[in-house]
Amino acid sequence: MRVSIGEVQSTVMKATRGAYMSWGMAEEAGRVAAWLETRRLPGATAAASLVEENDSIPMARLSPVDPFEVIVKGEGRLCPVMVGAAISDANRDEAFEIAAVAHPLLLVSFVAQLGEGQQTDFSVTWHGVEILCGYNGLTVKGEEADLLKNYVSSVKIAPSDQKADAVIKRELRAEVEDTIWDILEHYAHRTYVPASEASRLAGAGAGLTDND
Amino acid sequence: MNGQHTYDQLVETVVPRRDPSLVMRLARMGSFHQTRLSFMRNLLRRLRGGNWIFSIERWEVDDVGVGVGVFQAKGPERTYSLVAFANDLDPSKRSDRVIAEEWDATFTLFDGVPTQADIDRLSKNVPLQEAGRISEKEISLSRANRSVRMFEYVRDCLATGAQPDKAKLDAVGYLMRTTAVYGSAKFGAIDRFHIEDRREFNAPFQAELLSVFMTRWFTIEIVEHLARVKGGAKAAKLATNIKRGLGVGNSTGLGMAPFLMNHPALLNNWIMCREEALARVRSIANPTAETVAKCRNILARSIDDATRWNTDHEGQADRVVEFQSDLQKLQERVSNDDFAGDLPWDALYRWAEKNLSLEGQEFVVTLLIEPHGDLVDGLTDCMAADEWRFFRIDGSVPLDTFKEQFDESYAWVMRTDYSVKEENARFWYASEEKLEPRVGERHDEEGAEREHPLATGRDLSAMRKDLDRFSDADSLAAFLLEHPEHRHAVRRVQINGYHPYSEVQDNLISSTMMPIDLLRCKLSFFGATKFDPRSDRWVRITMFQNAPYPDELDQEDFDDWVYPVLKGAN
Repeated sequence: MRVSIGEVQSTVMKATRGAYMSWGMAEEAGRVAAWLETRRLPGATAAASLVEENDSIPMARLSPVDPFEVIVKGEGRLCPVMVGAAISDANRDEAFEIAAVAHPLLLVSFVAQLGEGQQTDFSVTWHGVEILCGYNGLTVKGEEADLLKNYVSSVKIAPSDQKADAVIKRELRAEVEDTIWDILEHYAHRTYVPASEASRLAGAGAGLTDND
Repeated sequence: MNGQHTYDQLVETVVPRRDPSLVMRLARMGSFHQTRLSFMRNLLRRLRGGNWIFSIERWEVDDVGVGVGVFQAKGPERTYSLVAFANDLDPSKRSDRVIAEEWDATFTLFDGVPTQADIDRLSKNVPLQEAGRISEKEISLSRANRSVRMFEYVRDCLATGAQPDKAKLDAVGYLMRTTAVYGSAKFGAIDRFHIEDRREFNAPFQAELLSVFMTRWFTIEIVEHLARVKGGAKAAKLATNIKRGLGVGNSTGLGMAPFLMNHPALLNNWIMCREEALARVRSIANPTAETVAKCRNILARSIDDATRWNTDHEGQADRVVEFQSDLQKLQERVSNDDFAGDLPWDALYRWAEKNLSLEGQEFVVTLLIEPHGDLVDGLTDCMAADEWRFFRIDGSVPLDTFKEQFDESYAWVMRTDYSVKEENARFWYASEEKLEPRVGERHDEEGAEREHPLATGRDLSAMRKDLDRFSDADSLAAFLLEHPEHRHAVRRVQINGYHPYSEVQDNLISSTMMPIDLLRCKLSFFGATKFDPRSDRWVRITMFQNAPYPDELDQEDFDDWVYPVLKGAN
């Protein structure tokens, strides 16, 4: 599927909402996926696995306990969007670690957000992957398989003296495998209300003829 | 003397902008009229200023009206093409609702000049609308249906070599009605962020309205084509003065209402610019004779035009009658005023607040802004917004500060008891059938658990109550960690901190809420006229009525095209 960035954003938002997130958190998820895809990183693919793994799990079980800790952790696997939002809210500005987090790729835009706000770059590292992101742009080192890891036991984040590469080109399109897109649409579908004759007439405001 | 400012000069105002608590009420927003800041008028000013050249590059339409046309717009830097697919629609399938599956004509605005391969690809997708796919080469996707009574009447008149009756056409105002005009990433179209840096598309909805402006041209071409098929050599072309009175109709349902709540920074910028324009005019100490004459002229033309504001909608029909009487009072006031007192425009506005209905008051806003293009037109450069810039939540804010901000700006939230059935009567959702926004009855219909976050008042009020369970010294980050369900409400409040006009200050799930008020507000910024509600949740309008056609943009009477010229005035 060749889709627009806006379609990634809205479909991931609806899918994460359909699976387990509040609307405000799902807005973050949609933005994360769009942010990654405009930088040619597989945000939609990571988001699709995430919703499958976390389907119907209460948010509290996926949340960090305290985003200000030296090692941020939860009771089990952390949701990368929820922990990402929490560290962004906490505005972390020193080195720290996140333990046991699913799909670490989905964390990256939150770290970039910290860097943009603090006018600096941050490094984000996990096994096989080294990312520099923030004020200056984005540099990614790592194989796709490592980038798309569905779980890592540790992610290290720290302000960096190095400068990330400027993001020169933003992608026009996202290329998402059909099976991945189907997963996202399946969960997005849960945010829709089935139509009834009553809703067609009343809800949409039809019923009067237009053939005039 | 005022009136010499350009937008890049700081304009000092002695009269402040109207307060959000006055402006952002549904009843008032549902009374807005177009102004010279509207996106349509801004578009035509730019097309004229840039000497855009328009041409028909292809017209392959058969005798039953099926085929393709390519209409080209060439600007200083880039060329765009409206690719139009004409259809011979079975009348039983003609519906303007989003639930329709076939239309009289379908369109896409192509970025550049399409090749044959592009047109082949588009011919397999554009006529299907939501069921098809377009690409990053396309900017918009839309469709239109004929107004059957008008279209056939005009075709038949022209076929015999006669002109249709102008009064009859003016009363309807168009030959075809568009329904949805999709842009920005929808169905595969290019994302706005890729084109917003182009000078011609930076202001809101310029690409979509360029497509509508060219669609209007298509409606004339297709009716003249079918008249030629029927009448042969004796067929006439539409007379220029009759053509002018024809715009493009539009039928708009709930689909566009959530947009206002989902784009709070953008909504703010639209309203703020309009309010700033009003404040600038109200602050003028000594109006020029020219602006006063212009005001009187526009008023006379508006009085005439209001006689053609037709609607069968009971509520709106009453309002139109009241509006017409407002206009008479206004004319009396304006013709007797020597505009020599203290802040004369301000005095006129304050008089309107005391003496006119909301329709009349908001028309006075339009009227005051109208003669002052040099003072206000630059504001149209400030009407776009990048919502993502304000998306990130600042979690470092202490809760006492956050609560204080909330309590100052959101008093409207707390005046409603959302546990009362009537105040919690509705829910906004997306239908499975067409993925379009709808409003359901919470207590009678299934699906409220799938509600969209548009019950702003109720959600903000719930958030405020939970805030009290935290210590004032706690941070917003700590609150959100425990209450992720309030994240969207918290974001709204923070955006409002920089954007005082970001919130509609009414309960959007009340049993008495009228979605058409939201539609009217949005459409007035587009530049729509002749609001004709068909129920409490969809409305018909006219776009570009009285506007010049692409080959008339250099005409002298250009600037105030929206107000029809009085009979005998030329």
